[in-house]
Amino acid sequence: MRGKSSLAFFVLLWSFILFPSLASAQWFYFGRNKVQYTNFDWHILKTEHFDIYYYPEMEELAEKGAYYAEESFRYLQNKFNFYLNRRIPLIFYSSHLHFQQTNITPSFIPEGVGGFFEFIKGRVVIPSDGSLNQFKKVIRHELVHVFMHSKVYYVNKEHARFEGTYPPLWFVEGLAEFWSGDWDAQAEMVLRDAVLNNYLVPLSKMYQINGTYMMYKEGQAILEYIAEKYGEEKILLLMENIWKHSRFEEVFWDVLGKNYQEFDQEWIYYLKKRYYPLLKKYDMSQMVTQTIVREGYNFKPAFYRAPDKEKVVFIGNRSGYTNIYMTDLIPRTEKTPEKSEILIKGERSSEFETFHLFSSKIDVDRDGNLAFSSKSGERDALYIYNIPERRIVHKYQWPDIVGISSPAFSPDGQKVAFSGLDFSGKKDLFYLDLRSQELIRLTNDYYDDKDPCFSPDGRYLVFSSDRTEFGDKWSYNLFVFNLQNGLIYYVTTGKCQDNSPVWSPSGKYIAFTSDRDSSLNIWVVDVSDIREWKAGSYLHTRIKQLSFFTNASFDPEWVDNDRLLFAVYENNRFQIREMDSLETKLEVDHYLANLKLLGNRKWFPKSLPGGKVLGKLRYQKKYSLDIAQTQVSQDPFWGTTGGAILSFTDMLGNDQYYFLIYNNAQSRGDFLRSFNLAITKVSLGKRTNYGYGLFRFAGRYFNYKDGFYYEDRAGGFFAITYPFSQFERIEFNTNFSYSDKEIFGEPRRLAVLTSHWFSFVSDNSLWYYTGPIEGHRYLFSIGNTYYIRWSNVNYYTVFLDLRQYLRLSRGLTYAIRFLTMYNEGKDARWFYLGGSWDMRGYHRWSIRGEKILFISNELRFPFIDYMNIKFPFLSMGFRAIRGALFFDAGNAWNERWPGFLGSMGFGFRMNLFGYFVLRLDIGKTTNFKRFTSRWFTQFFFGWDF
Amino acid sequence: MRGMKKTILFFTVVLGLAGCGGLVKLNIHQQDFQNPAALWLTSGKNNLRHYASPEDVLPPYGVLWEIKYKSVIADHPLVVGNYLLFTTVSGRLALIDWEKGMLLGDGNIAPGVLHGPTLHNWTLFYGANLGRETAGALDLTTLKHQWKVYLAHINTNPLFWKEKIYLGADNGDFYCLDSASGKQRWKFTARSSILGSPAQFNQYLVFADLKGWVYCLDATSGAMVWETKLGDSFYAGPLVAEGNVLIGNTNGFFYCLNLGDGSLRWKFKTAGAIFGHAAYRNGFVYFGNNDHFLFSLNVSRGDLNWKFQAQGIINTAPLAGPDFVYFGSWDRYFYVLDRITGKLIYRRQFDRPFKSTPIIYRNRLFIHTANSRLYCLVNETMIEKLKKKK
Repeated sequence: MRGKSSLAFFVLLWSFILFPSLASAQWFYFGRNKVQYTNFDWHILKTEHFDIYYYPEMEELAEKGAYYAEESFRYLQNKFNFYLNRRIPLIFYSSHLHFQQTNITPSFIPEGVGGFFEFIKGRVVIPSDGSLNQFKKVIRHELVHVFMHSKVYYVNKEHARFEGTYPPLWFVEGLAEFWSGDWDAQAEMVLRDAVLNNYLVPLSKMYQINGTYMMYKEGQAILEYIAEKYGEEKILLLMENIWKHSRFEEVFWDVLGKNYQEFDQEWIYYLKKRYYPLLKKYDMSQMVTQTIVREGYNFKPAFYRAPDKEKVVFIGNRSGYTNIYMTDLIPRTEKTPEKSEILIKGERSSEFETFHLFSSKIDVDRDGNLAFSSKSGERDALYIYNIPERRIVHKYQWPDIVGISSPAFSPDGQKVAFSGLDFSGKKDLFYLDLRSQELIRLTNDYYDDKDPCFSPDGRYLVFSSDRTEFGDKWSYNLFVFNLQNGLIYYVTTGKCQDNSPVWSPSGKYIAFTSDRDSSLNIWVVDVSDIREWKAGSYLHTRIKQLSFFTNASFDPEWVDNDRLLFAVYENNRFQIREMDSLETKLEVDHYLANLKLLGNRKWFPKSLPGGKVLGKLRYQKKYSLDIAQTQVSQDPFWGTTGGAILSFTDMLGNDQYYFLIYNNAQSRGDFLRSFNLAITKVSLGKRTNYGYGLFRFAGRYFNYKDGFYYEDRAGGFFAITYPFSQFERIEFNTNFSYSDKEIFGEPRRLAVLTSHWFSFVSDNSLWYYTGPIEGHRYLFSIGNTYYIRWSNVNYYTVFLDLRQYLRLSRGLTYAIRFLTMYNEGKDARWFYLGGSWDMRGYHRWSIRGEKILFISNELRFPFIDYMNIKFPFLSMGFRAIRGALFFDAGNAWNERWPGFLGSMGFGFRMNLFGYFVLRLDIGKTTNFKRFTSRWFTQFFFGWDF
Repeated sequence: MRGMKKTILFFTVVLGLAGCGGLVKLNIHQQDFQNPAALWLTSGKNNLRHYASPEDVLPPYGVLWEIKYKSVIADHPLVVGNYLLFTTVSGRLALIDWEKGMLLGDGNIAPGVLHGPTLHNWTLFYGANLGRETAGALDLTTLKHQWKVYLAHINTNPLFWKEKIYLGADNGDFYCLDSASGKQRWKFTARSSILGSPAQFNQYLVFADLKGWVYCLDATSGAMVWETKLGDSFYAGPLVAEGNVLIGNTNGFFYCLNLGDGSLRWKFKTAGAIFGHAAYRNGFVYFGNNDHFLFSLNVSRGDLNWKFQAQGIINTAPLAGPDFVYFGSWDRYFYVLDRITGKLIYRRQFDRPFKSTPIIYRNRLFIHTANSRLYCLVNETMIEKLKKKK
């Protein structure tokens, strides 16, 4: 009914307007928090084509980024045959942790997102992660999006195609990858595995992997193939001819002369010819090594020699949350169950928000202390966890170190070395003396130094760095740091990526990951001849390839001198395996010498010359339009409503203004009377978010308590929210309004109403296609509403909504909800139950009163993983149709509790396009004395609770 | 039934009018073509594609008139009699009274075009890069098509020579059609798409494709005279001058080939892709690239005479006058340089980038800014006088 709709809309509008970023997980009052821990002092660096937003601590990095941006601009204007006349806003962050705080997008930013391009204001937002090459690549990747977006827009516009075709996502992202870097070992890893394990998704079915990393790489591979077979000029033609057809597949056919199916045939054949011969020389790792950890996605193995057994500690994600696990180091087969114990649960609490599973190793010392890093609030923390005692023994955080990765113990367990990312964006080596608690910075420059590992005698650290001769071509070599004199020496050389070095227990070898054979494999460098490291020592080391796998293997970890653990990417999973008989393999002589260095020993990152910097100034807020939307609606009973909403924000999204205006007059005389207006300001730039505004809402309404009435209400509100962490927050809001209410058949009521609310919210739920499947969502609210002058409206409200999701197995969740809404006082409002969103089997809002109590139980399970329906003219695919068994009970009352009503049944939910869920419930209702004879069927939309 | 027929007729008329409905018949006669050197009848002014103007317009300029016209003019306008006419890439043909600055009429002639049309007497020959009938001859005095034919998607400006029309297509086909009937006389297939307009000198017909090949055919028989592989793509067409074929490619190289045998005489490297056509005058060739430079090279030696840096890409042909070179850039500036020294004589900023070439006719400079306006510029001192005359 409209009254409730208006009120609900009003509440929804307020919550949407006030806290769009907070409502990102669901419609109403839950959701995680995007916490602005850091106060950034924004400045703008102006170059020829860009306005670069940065903060002073990262000024040097911003100048390097400016150079990369201008360089990319020159490159892309040639590639696209297009020039952008408008200035492009680039917003830089010196770390991913800072980047996650941005308000330019209301969405949460996962670790895998390297940057994004926002269409409305044309902003490009890019973090650095300590690697200048990665920074440069992401800048170029995002600028490809900027150029492509404009190019396609103008091609369509100039050909008078106002609803023009836009390329599909695989092309958009594939092009950004193709034109921002070379085909590298990671891309090779994904394609090889897909082809050799027969799960490559053809172009004609690319929608099945839309938005995934696989799609990025397949898109890139398709464009690489088109460039090679048809010529790179065809790629530009695909954009220049996009106006000709309404579907991209037709443009594709027009330019290449092949439809998707024909293209798939030749492309897949080409890939098979390329990769199948690898099986002659290389093996699939599962055929020649022992599987230790199979289930889920597993990374960064660390060996632990427990008193009773050999163990592997690793970071894994097998159910949705990332945790640190421990399991026995025994080979597994399909029949051998794997029992992994969770040592530390991640992503559920502010202490362990994320373990950086792709980029940060872990280490265990001989006493069973585990060193790992995790995001904890504003920055990363270094944790020491004692495995035998199963507890955290130390937590370290430093104000100037934002990111911590790959901690490694010294042989005596008294020091921990790690790679630290500071506020300015530099990633360098540090070590912490655990006895004195002294932190020492070992390097301090713009080279990306990572993955340190102590030598067995504790005198050296081996690490990976791009401070090499070919570093500007994105090469990493291994280096040794002498802890006594602070000098650094080459261990390996070459135009390749050598990462994750680990010293063998004997000290004779260093195992590492390298892409020297164009894919990631395990290599060793024989350092047995080196007594003291010197400048030319690298010429006396020898390198040997240890693994010859078709699939990528990385992160080696010595168990002893004869065995090595490592992670592999195989069959679209990450597993942990073990190689043995190494002593024999290492004796066989297939060693290579290092390349002798010529010329410069390292590269020097470039910055924008001073003359090219047009200015630096402090950021000042200027607002521009984000959203302008109008709507006209027609209701057969309530008539016509028309209105508009406008939103203005500043460049950084920190300050937002919303204007809502609509009119629901049914006659000319009513026009002014029925004018509705709301103005809201929301400020998200600091940790404490606040919003305030003024409103006037007037019109005819209906509710079950008052019936039909007219109300004219004007006033203001103020709301404030403080997040403790990503998961918990408190809120306070207050509003006052003047209300002129005419209830049909009753005297007119004029009142000045005010209400105040205080809430606590906690949400760490893990979501799947149709709703939460693990974690919890809690809300506690208490408030008071009263009529200032006469006190004939004066009630307080307690609101408690507790939802818990217990994961019984990978696909099975038991969800339970307890809800109570309790009003006490004069002229209290009513609450409602009934409908698909709470008390199923009852009409929507048919159960009502000043107080409600409701309990819902639901068992959620998978039903259909994927269903494809084929019509003669098209086919439609539906993913993840889930089932539920439910049991609801509750009721509403004013004075006396009337007893429970309930319902029981089963249901199905289906997610459509990722945006909303259709739900169908079938069951029977009960008054707990008997069930109704008839079954009810309820079909509606909405996420699971 | 009668009522039905009337309805069908009504809608046919309406749709027909909607198609060519805005065009007006031209009042042009044979004497309007008597001074072809002054006229602009085809892209580049003539089949050699020199983009050379016999006259200059001295800066500084004032705007005599401007007409709002969206889209992008393909190549540049044509001029004959009192008419300025052009096609846009969206397939519209517009007719303008260049003296009064009035839009006389416009209408769709094709779903889209890449390069401009050619006028021979009062017949407009055009190629379309989409649709079923991709080449046509439209009589501008009657607005009736003499012929329309279905070929592959045509990208190039139709080259008229000895009652024949030559066109290059998306699929690499190069056609020779009879200009009166549209019948195909012969066809040659290149290795890849032909995007740049062909040039002609005597019996030699030259053009290039996207795979980096330059072809020379006998214009009468279509037999290959020579072909040369130069690498990377040619978006631009060649020009012919002093027995040379001059053309630039997307790798930033500008080439000079011997017209007789296709051998390479010299090549000049630039740092940006060359997408636009070149201009030629008196031993010098002028072209722009996507590194924002306009170059002047000595044709006989292939060395640099001068280069000028704008602030945006230059991917259209410049116009070479007796003393000045004129061009627009995507930086929204219109530039006039001294043709010999490359010195900047004049520049003026407009509201949009330049994606077509300026032309000069009867002391007037006509330029178009993309998706915006067609301007007629004259020397400032002439403005009042000409406005009164209008």
